[in-house]
Amino acid sequence: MTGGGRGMTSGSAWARLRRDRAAAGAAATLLLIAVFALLAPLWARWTGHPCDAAFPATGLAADGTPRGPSREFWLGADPLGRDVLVRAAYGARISLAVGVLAALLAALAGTAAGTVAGYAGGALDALLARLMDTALALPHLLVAITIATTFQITSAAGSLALTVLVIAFFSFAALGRVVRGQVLVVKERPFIEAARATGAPAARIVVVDVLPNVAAQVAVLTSLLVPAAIVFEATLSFLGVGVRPPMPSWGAMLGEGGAAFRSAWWLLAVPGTLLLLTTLACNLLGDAVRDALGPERGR
Amino acid sequence: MALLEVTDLRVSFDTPQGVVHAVRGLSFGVGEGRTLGIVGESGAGKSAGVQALLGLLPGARTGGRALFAGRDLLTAGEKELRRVRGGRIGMVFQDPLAGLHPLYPVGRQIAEAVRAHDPGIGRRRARERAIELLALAGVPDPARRAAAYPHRLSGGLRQRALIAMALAPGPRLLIADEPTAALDATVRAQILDLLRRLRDERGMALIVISHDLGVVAGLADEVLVMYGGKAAERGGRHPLYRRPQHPYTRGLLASVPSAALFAGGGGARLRPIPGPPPDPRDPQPGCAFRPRCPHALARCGEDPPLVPVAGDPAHLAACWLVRGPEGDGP
Amino acid sequence: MTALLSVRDARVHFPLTRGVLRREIGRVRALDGVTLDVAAGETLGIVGESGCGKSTLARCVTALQPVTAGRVLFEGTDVAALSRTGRKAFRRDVQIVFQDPYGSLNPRRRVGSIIADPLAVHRVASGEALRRRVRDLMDLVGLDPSHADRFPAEFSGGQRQRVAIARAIALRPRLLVCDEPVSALDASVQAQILNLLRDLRDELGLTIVFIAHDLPAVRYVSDRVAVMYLGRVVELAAAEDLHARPRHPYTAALLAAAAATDPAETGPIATGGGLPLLQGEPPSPAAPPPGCGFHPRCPRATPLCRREPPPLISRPGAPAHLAACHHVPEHAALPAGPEAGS
Repeated sequence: MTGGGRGMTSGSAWARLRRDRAAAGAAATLLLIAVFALLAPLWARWTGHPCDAAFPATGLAADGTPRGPSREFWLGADPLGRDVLVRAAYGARISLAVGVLAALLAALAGTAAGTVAGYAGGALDALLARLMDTALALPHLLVAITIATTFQITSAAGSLALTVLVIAFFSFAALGRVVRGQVLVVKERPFIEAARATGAPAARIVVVDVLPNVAAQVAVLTSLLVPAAIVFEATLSFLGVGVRPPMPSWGAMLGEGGAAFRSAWWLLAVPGTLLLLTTLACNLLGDAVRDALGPERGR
Repeated sequence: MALLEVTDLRVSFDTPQGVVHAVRGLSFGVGEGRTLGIVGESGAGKSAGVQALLGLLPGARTGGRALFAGRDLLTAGEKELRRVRGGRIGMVFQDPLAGLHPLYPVGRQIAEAVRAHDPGIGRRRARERAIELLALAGVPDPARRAAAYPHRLSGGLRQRALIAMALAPGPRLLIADEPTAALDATVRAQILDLLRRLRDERGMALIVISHDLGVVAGLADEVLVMYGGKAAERGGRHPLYRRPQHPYTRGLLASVPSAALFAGGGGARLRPIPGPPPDPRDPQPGCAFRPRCPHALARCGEDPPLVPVAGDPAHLAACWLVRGPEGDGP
Repeated sequence: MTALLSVRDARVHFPLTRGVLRREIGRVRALDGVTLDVAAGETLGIVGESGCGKSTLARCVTALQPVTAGRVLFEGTDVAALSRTGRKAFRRDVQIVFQDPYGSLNPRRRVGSIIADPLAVHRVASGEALRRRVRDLMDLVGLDPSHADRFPAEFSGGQRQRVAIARAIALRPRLLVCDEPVSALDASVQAQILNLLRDLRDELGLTIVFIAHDLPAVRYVSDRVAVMYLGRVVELAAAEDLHARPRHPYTAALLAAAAATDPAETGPIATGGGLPLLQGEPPSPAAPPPGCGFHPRCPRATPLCRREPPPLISRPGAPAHLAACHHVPEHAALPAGPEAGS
């Protein structure tokens, strides 16, 4: 027998992830939604209904109420006579982009803040820790609404960027605190002292020895931030302080559809179902990633 | 007949890394007033074997027979085992903190052990008995220490408190699993001394499990050396230490810096056993020691039986090179 | 001759605090005035029980822990006063092997990269030269160089400690500090590592500070041995001299305890060759007794011991044998003396 082979019999994290049925289902769902979003122009071409174009003649009934799902409008029309299918696909692009971008930004900022705070300690730690505490303590929605109304941004790109920034700001702290705690634990492990004893500078120790040992947690937390950010965006847009109309997003569609819900169920059902499926799949996948990475390999 | 008689014990259990074949056919016995030392390295199966006997390895699959005062522990129900564990068999573990509840004073925990065994005894009497037991275990100022929480006691005092608790029901057999591994040298000697004294005074049977041949050397009448889940060698303390037969026992003795080594002068060198101990998840056919053995033969691919050594029917070794009465050792 | 390493009255006191305001309620005297020298080429063993300060001393001499008072001098230079470049050179010259072979290796890095770390940090080698050095080092410590791509979890405890040793000697340090390097290993593997350290010392001419709680292991690798108790050195002598003629009663007790668990001692149930076993346990370094720290457990303690801490001094006729005891016997072996039990 050689010394090798210990502790590796159970296979890699990736292999464990691939064996997880729930994870496979969740990944397939997300893939379908992503394809649906990517192919938005195709839906627009097939239906002949561009995203923001209104078709009151065909989309609205005589009394002005939107028509339900039909051969012309597969998933019905909205009160302006726009195609819900096409808007849901374009909205998926916005929702997913905002969710992923905000989560990545939050992960980046949170990891940086948490790592610096945890590793440096002292006054820098106190400052960053208080900043993160403050971000967590603020009433998110209230502040977000205040910011959105204070900075009257009219451009589509501007409103999108502001939404991403607001969501990232309120998400980074939760992740940052977890990373900080994790770094504090890793910092006490003997191999960090061993690295210090070789004369390695702090920056190298952080990159080579600390970050790889918190990367798994960051990956899991980030994957769980995505659905939270999508819901946050939906909430903001629902309240009219997220992305600007006529840009579609699931939240904006839910907001616009709320009034006509009694007569037109599809206005809520379509974006609502998509939102639910996406967040559910993201959460399932995040849990599966965490389970697969599991406790550190070895003892 | 011995108080505890274990025959062909087999223990395996599942871990996320695969099935661990902890014990693969082990026989031993211990009589009242006698001490059996079980020695082995990590993964040799020494602790798993004894824990499985007492039903302390949930989910473990066991085979063989383990007669304690005539009753087979391996077929006993959980309820009966629990009664045995808190009664006629006492246990002391490596980490005394794990055996003590952190939120109760040690005296109260010992008093509870007393009452669990003898429900008729009054609270006050149980408390007095707890203090007596602490004194018996060599705890200085036992009345005051009885009121202390476990974390307020030093490592040595905790181990003494745990021994006092194990003694509460007046066990016939005391099992000490690495009782001194967490203790410093001067304290270790005190605890070993205490175990020896208690055994002699109360006529208990004692099983001491250790990775350290030296810990067992001062205490055991009979020593069982385990390797790869099996007995490599078994015999009286003196014959085994003076005339070790199995290459593993020899290797183990040659790898500790002992007084005998230094007696040879400054240049004396340890002769370590090469390589790592076997992986209990991946038992190989034949003698488990073969990959590390300097004398390995083709025949070692077959399992060597445990046979008596020349001139001493009580001294057994599992090695093809031990020929028994007429043959020479390795 | 100047010593390679000199420790002068080194103290490390950790404050004990309580409450959110971290009010200081006491001090843990982890190291309470240690003075010793390590000459180039020698192996100094340091032995003592948990809490005696031996690991704190290891961290002080490797500059991982600043001293509260006193000095640590490497080649005559105070390590606390090193310049940036001086410190970098110090880190090259002084390396450490830790107790825990599971914790001291980053589980997410391949062992080849771990061993290469000091070489990369100090830009000694790179590329193919670096890989060759790593292979040579693995070979030197008895590891298969083809396993450089494996993770620590794929190695046994002994092999991991070999990885840690390879990392520590990669820069050919002038001083190697080993902090309980074999305590976590199985007996048969301990011997492998002890022999490896002895061989490396001879091959590379290393100066070693070897720390352990186990007197026989210390004796096996050391030229001189310092016995520590409660943050102080209580006896310091050549290894053979210390074993043959211990002067401090604590050293004698450690020898007795070692003899009590010596597998070669197959006398009628060993109790340390008939020596009385020490009673009690070491006091907490947060509340050390006045006078000699050992007096509460000492069979020969007198009012003087309770009052005055004894200095670590030599006696006439044996200038290299230091002991901190008011009652050093006039001659030779304390265990043989009839007064030992009184």
